[in-house]
Amino acid sequence: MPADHEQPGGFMSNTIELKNVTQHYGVRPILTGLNLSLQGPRITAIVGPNGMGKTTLLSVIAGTLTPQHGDVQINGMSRRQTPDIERQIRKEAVFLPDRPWLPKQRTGREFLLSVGAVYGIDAERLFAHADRLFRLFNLEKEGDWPVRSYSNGQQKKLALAAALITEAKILILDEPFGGGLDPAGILALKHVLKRLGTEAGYLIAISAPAPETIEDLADDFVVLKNGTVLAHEPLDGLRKLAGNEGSLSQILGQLVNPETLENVDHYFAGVNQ
Amino acid sequence: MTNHKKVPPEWLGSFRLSCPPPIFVFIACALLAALELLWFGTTALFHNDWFTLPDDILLFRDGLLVCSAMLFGVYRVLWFHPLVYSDYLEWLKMTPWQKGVSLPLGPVKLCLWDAVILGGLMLLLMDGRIISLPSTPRLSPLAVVGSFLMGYIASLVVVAWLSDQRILAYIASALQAMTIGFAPWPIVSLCFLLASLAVAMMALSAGWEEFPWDDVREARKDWKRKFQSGSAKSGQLMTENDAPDKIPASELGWPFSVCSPVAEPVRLGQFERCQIASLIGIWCLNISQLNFHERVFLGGYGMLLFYVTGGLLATRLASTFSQHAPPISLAGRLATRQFIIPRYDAPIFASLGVLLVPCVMGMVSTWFFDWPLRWTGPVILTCTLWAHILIGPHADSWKLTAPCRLTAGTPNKRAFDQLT
Repeated sequence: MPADHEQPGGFMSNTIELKNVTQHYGVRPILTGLNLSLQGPRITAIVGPNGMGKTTLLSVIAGTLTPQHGDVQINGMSRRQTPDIERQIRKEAVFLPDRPWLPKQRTGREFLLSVGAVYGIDAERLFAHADRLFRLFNLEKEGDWPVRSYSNGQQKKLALAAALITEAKILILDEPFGGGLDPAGILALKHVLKRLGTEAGYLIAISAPAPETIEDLADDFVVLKNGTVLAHEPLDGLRKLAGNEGSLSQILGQLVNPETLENVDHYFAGVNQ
Repeated sequence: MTNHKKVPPEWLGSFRLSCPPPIFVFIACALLAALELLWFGTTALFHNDWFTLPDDILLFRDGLLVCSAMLFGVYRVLWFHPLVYSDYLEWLKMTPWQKGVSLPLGPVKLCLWDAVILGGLMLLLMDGRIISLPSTPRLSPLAVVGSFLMGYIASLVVVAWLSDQRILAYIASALQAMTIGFAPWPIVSLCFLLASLAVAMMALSAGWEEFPWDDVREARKDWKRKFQSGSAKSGQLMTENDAPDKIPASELGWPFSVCSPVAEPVRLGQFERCQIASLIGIWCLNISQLNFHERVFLGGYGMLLFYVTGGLLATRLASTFSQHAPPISLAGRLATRQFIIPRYDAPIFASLGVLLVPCVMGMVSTWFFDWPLRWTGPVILTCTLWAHILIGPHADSWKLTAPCRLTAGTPNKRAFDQLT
């Protein structure tokens, strides 16, 4: 099994590598010959218009989809190579889907503890970590309630806590700021992710439909268009590429949907006639 | 580090997880309390030597306890096994879980706290009421354990079958049937029950080795998820543009149906179907050993054989004639008065062959040997099912080998073209 290489910051480098990945549903291609290399510690945001394959890309990285062509490597290990390697990858990289499963009849604490046990976390550390997570997400009181009594936002918080309790150093998060998360939850999550990315050496891949939520969070951005990577740059790099010093949403509008403003003009031109 | 609770011992954790949901416990307790109240009320009001209502209530209460134990056995498997709970399975497949690591929703195998819950039910069954009539039969407390194990093993058989441990599942089920058959001899029956439990546990253990079970089934599920389920639970894998791919095989028509991405149910081989038929026979044979009157078997097996054979015959003939066009259709034959066309009628002869099996066996066993129906009924039923499985041609193979033109399943090229 390949050994992690140490980074100047003192922690091991975590990597995600996609080589020539093609994923299609039936006759409709979603990802076509996609190459991508991510190296931690950093937070990478995957952005692009609807239907361009953000969720598919994250699902391929997470191993819930097996691409028709190409290779996905996590920390130098190819996915679905042998059962032992696949299990090792799953220990090192955790995926949080947009709408995650939660056991409705169990309490939040029971769920967090059992997730930790599945990931082989020491019981003493697990209990302490669960308490800290409940406090972080303002769920101290609700921690011992059944999950079915949680609101949508609280369920999202619990799912995020379950991803964090695994102590996996690679987090693959599909729209973590959605699903009814309140401003306090968003703030807490942003700060936690930022510190995990900078202080704890995590590699975090996030998708988000609204660029504003991740503009100040991500270190670099993967812009998807028509199943390929249009750009993989930090915000300054994207600004140079677009020749626009505006916000991320303006840059994306220019890079991915240059016709959007034209369409708006066209719409109102029709109204005025 | 914050102050955190002390880690509870593992045996306590398993109680928290394996205990039935509070709502079920509440309903069972409420029902039991209502029966107790009814019993006390009727005893206080009406009890005397000839009026037996209070004891009927007591019997009903005992039955409720035994049924609760059986439901608890079913619950202990079906609420905890990931194969039965697809969202749980999908989630578990994303984690590094493997055999030997505790399951997040609780253990499927028996744990100490199961014994505590069963002990409670046994105590309730053991209550020594001095008021009940001595003539009223009371169930043994061991009936609680027996019914729990019957429910537990039957559920294990189901999940073992689903996790591809089919031979072990059949053996466990057959041994379970023998537990019923040998009920008049409690020690022998207990041996069969324990043997059945041992085999079912072996199947469960072997099933964990295969987690996440059958790549083919997963591939089929993936297809289903992508093409059938619309807004898929596990991540919006479906868009409206994929709609043509949702065309079911039946609309494509044969032979295009084999190209359909929509999953078809898993088909069992001939040998496997014979095994299931044998298992049905073993269950019937063992249930027949219970102390029913012979007339019950005459009516029961007579009806069963009539409906099974009639159903099989009707299905086969309908599937054959529905594929024939004039002049070899039923109407065409009536018009031409050519009722039998040997070359084209192999499926009809096969259907008649299936019909002959129960008729001949029934006549021989009844008229010539006068064997009791409690023995011959299950054998005839099994042989009829075997005959149906083995005597071909069946519709699937006839579609490929029939010397005549068949109309059903007309290729729907237009629908197929949408896929390509």
